[in-house]
Amino acid sequence: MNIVIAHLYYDILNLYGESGNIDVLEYHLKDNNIKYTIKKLTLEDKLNFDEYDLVYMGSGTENNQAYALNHLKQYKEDIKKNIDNNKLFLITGNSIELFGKDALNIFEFTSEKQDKRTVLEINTKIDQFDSNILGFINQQTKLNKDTEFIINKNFIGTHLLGPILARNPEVLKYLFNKLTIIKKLNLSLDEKAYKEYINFKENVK
Amino acid sequence: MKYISILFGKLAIILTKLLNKKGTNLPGVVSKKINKNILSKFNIKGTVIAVTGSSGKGSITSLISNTLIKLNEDVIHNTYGSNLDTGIISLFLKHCDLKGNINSKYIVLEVDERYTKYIFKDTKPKYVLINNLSRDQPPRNMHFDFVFDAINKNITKDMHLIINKDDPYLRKFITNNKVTYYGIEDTKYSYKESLFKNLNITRCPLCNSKLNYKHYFFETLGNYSCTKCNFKRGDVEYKLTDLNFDNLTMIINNKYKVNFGFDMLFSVYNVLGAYTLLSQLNIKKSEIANTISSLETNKKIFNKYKFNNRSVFVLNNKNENATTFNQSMLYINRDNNLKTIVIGWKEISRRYKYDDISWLYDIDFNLMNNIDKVICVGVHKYTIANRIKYAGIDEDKILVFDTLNDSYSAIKDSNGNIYAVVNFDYVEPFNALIGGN
Repeated sequence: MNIVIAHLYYDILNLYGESGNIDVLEYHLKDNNIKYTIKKLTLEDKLNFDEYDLVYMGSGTENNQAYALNHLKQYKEDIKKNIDNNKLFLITGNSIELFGKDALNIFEFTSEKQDKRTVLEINTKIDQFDSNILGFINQQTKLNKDTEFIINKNFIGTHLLGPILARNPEVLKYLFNKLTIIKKLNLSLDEKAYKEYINFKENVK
Repeated sequence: MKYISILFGKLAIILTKLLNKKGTNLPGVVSKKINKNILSKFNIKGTVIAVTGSSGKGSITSLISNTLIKLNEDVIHNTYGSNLDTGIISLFLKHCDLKGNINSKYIVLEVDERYTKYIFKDTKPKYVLINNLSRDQPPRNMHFDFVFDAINKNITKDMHLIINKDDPYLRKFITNNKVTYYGIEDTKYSYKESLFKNLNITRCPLCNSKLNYKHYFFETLGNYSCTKCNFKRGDVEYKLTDLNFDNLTMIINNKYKVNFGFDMLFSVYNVLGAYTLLSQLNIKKSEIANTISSLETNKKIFNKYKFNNRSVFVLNNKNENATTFNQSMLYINRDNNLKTIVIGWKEISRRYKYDDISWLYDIDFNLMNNIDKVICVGVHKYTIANRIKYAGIDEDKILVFDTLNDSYSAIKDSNGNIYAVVNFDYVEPFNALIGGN
């Protein structure tokens, strides 16, 4: 078995250390001797969603977000079908906006440009996970929706930006359980970093 | 009203001196409270030279003003850090007469990229130098397109731009302005394949096709051309034609030899940018070259010494600015000896309360080669350690400590050359700990 990960628009949606999410996936696949391929795909490439085991897409500038949307539009039905068929997606930062009603029209939410930018550290509980999720918001847009997450079948999307998988061991475990059978996840430093951050923030208060 | 606010401002300068406060912004803050338009009330008679962009502004303006001072020119300059409107108001208050006249021949301004809208309008720079725009303090600046827009909106037709042409991103400042470009020709330190992953621009600013590089110097800097249209780096007026990191010399336009501070690329660009700007001012090029060469280097930015017969390199970085760390990575990568790296900081930002760590993953730590130990220090020691693990460094080579003092024995017992890749708030504590021997 060979796991195929599609890193969409790796060259233009590459803000806020989000390539770290790919580094994390690679580390654990290697650590478990699982064969894998990372497909770095962008505007000139033809996408074939049926081929991928996991689709990843991250944050970009507003200009680059528009280029990505324009390219993705032709695959709208493909994407829909694959989400319905339980394809694994991980979508972070403003890329999630592309899946809304006003873009690819895959989910019901819309996003709205605000006058003021929202800058927020996130340390919050959401239904799917036992521990709080850590992340960062730095967006001019707001999702018209009561959470920053869209979890639907195996589609995991969030408006939070950054290396979500490196910061949240529980999300990483959740994702890996859906991706492949894995023997060990070496998360000892991840867990310590997670606790360190929570404690640090509590002490600052 | 105008004279009153200037008078109060002058009074504030005297008071801050009496109180022995070093905060150079305070008089500006006070007089801006009295008259929010005070910056427009000064009568500037000389030539205003502004330097803006993400990093190196302080170094470049210092090179320009120190060169002018050595050449006995009448020059004023907002020194390091006071680059907001209030810092410039303070500078003007100090040097104006009671009617608000500033009589200096040259006014050299380091301008915060987000404050160009206040500062350019009132000071009307004749020259604007932009050396780089990078990922820098995202909670404050969001991303580079935001910073580009903030600066670009405030560039008026009469400004003469001085631009680093090696960065295709800066070519977005394409206007009808007079532009003078500088850049580096191919050197023995360039490389063919990109070494960095998270680049700000990989596509043509005109047609959005992929850019091709003959060679790179660092991140997006190099000799680029568009794979589709005519956009390319092309020629520059002020070019570095030879570079030697061993004896810290560069040759500009095949003729002028200039010494620079230390063997890192940003040091080279800072000097080349300053040289290009000074060349616009009717000063003999040989005089510029000789004078820049004679300036002292800033040891806070780069330091080198011995510890137990091991070479120590202290590299100053800015948290939330991956480019400064990537410079350090390229520097470390050039050394093939065994190395121990110390990474840490006191706080992520002194400006705001956010403690985002995403920028750590914009840094290509995987360029660290031949590692004995990576010593991670400070309140986010495990966050750093986890990042280093994901860069492919063996976990048993990664050590963590709460404070620099706690890390002393580990540094002492480690092997190879020592590189401190630290935020600026750890430079002095590190030197105090290791440099004392």
